[in-house]
Amino acid sequence: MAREKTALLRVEGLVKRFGGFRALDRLSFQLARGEALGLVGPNGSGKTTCINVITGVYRPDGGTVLFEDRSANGLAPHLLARRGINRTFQSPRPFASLTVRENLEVAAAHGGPDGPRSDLQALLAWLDLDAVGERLAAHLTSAQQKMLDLGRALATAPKLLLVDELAAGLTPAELERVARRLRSLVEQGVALLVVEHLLGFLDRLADRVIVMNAGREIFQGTLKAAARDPLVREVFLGRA
Amino acid sequence: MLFYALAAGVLFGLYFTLVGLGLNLVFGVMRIVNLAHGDFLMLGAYLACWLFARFGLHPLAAAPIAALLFLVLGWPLYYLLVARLLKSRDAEMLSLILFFGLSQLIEALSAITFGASERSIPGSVLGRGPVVVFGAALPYPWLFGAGLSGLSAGAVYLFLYRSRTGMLMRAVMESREEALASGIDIHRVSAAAFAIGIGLAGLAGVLAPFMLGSVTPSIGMGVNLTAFTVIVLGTLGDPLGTILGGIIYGLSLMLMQTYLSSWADLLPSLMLVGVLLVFPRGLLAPSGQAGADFWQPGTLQPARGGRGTVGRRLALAAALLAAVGLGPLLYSNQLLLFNFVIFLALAQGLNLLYGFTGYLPFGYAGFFGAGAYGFALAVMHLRLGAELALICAGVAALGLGLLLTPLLRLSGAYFAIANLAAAQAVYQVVSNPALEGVTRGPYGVSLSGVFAPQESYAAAALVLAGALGLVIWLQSSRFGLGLRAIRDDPLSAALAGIAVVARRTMVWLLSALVAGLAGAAFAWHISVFYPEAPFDIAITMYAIVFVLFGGSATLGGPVLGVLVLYGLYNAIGITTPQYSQLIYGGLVVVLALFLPDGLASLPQRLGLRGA
Repeated sequence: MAREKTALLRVEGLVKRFGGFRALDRLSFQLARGEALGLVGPNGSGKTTCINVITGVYRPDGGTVLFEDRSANGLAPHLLARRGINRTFQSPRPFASLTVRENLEVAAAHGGPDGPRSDLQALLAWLDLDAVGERLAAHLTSAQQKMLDLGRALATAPKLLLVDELAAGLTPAELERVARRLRSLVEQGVALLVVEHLLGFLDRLADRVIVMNAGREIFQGTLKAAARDPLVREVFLGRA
Repeated sequence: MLFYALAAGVLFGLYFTLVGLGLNLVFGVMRIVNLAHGDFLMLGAYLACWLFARFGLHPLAAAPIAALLFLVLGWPLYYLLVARLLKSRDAEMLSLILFFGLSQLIEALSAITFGASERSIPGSVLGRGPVVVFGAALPYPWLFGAGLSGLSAGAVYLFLYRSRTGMLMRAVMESREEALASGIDIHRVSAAAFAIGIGLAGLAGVLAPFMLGSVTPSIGMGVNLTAFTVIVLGTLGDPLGTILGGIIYGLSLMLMQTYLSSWADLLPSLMLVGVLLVFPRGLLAPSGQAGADFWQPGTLQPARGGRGTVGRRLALAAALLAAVGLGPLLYSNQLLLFNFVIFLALAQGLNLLYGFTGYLPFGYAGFFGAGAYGFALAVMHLRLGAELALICAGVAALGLGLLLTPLLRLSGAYFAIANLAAAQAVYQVVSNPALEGVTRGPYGVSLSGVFAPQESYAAAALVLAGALGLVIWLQSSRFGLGLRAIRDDPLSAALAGIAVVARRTMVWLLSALVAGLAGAAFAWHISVFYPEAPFDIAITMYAIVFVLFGGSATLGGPVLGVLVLYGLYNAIGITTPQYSQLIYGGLVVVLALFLPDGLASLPQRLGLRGA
């Protein structure tokens, strides 16, 4: 990893409110090309909201998101996708009435930052979906749908990929394959933001983690250091 | 003057609380839209008129009878219609279609049974002369209306908060899934809510002859729009919020009648559209996550579209257009042929929007009317020839489409109803006597100077060709594939780089353009017409039925729908409009219940083709 790490994504003082509830409370962090950052925290700590704001599902109520040193605040998701930001969902959201191949074609056709990728067959094979390419997405297993979700994101050739709970519900063998795939993306220079409950999976992937609680960052560093941090332990295990 | 308007507004508004209460209860518990609510109210009104005329029964004595009778009728109706409906994938949307059909059915049956003439009960029955309150003279019936409404709202409150069934009902309103999971018999609770809703409609109907002046079988749709305005103002699904909605509505209506009387009729439709756009979930609802709704995937199963190739579709379109071209040589009834072509075009135009984006335009006739009047105004005032006037008509329809583009922010039933209200508003503006100098108001237009049956037929055929071309394009292009992706999941589609809003808007405008140009061809061909003709809600209904019958998102489906149903309609030679309304209303109900994806889905449903 000799690649120079310039910040691809800068999040500064991000605030998102739902009514009186602050789902994100002045969250700040940076992410470089070819870096994998983990986002952990108890349920409701704001991890998915963070992904939703960065990908344009919600407009932030405060703070800024800079992508490649340009503001990405409150842009519509399709514009962000074209600039190179993409994601997967906790429960996959494929185009159910389209075939697997069409799912990828749609994403490839409308393109990412460097124009659409043309090697869809290779992408299908890489995702182990080449045998079901002509099947309707609705008829895939949920593990396959997760891979298709990832494929839909990758078909736009993203520079920043946000992965929301990809590991949940996968078998150990599938986990192993997915971790290797994501790691190879990072080595190709993709910046990865991973929200994950499975810490073992995260440990294989992430260079460092941010621990969130109640919309705020309470720790930033390696996963090992996080496990030793008293505040993190308190949030996860309760007051001893 | 102001005091009178305020007092009258509150009383009048309380009556409309009663009108909306049942509708809101049904929506709250079942998340379905009973578009036949106004028609049940109309039946209640007829019952009261009959009881008075036959037995001299006082309306206040008729009120409990009507409420009870309708309550008892509502119960089996729930099991007949709603129970099946709730099992479908998108009950909210399908309920619109089903109850729209039921509404037409009831209206037609009533017109056949009672005749179309107005009924009323002398106002003096409820007390002579006005009641004077602080110098404001208010009619007695309004006091009765307000009183009865207050009693009913109180009874509903007590029922919801003090009875066991009411408590279960509130649980179901809170979360259907959780209620189901905790072992509540959802169907029993829903049946009770539906029956009470119908009972309340019957009760409100008893006073309708006084509050609305008189009743005819056709008041249902207007009452529905008003009831929707009231419950949307007071927050959908919150029965007690209806009181707030009713009072706001009543006050605005009375203030408008006092100071701007000629435009007061516009109020319900404009308020409905306005409130839905500004507060999509009602005034009382928290506005918190409104944005997230936008990205919810549609629940309607998107049609796969026909399996044919582009070549086969083009061949079908060419054959159809050839038949349209040869028609006048083979068949002498030009008007009938013309109507066929217009309906073929309208069905494909509606298919563009509904089939490929899932938005069901209940106000589709609004664009047809806008086109017809765009054409008429260009001919009358700009003295343009028919060809240029056609362009003006297209511009008028596109303009209306652009104006109404914000409606696309609404989903499902909200969009359909707001669109219906918007079309109603356009009709009310065009037909307003105050605009006689511009549109000739309710007196109709005459364009005999440009009358040209052959040319206008050809124009309609061209519009049809364009509509067919658009459908084929959406079926076979990358643009169309993107639309299908949007229908499956708008957020995933956006993440695939598709400009969701822009693309939906484009299809919406194309669909509006088709209807507008068809309306222009209609105006040119008919050349003398009243505003009711192009804005007739039956036009929308026919187009919806044709598309649903044959199958949306296909090319052949709507064609099949028009040829079979409109052909049947003419072959039987039904001359009384009530009978066709009856048959079509019934057909809509049956289609919504048993074949929501149209005839094109039949082979699949019967397992004749693999998935």
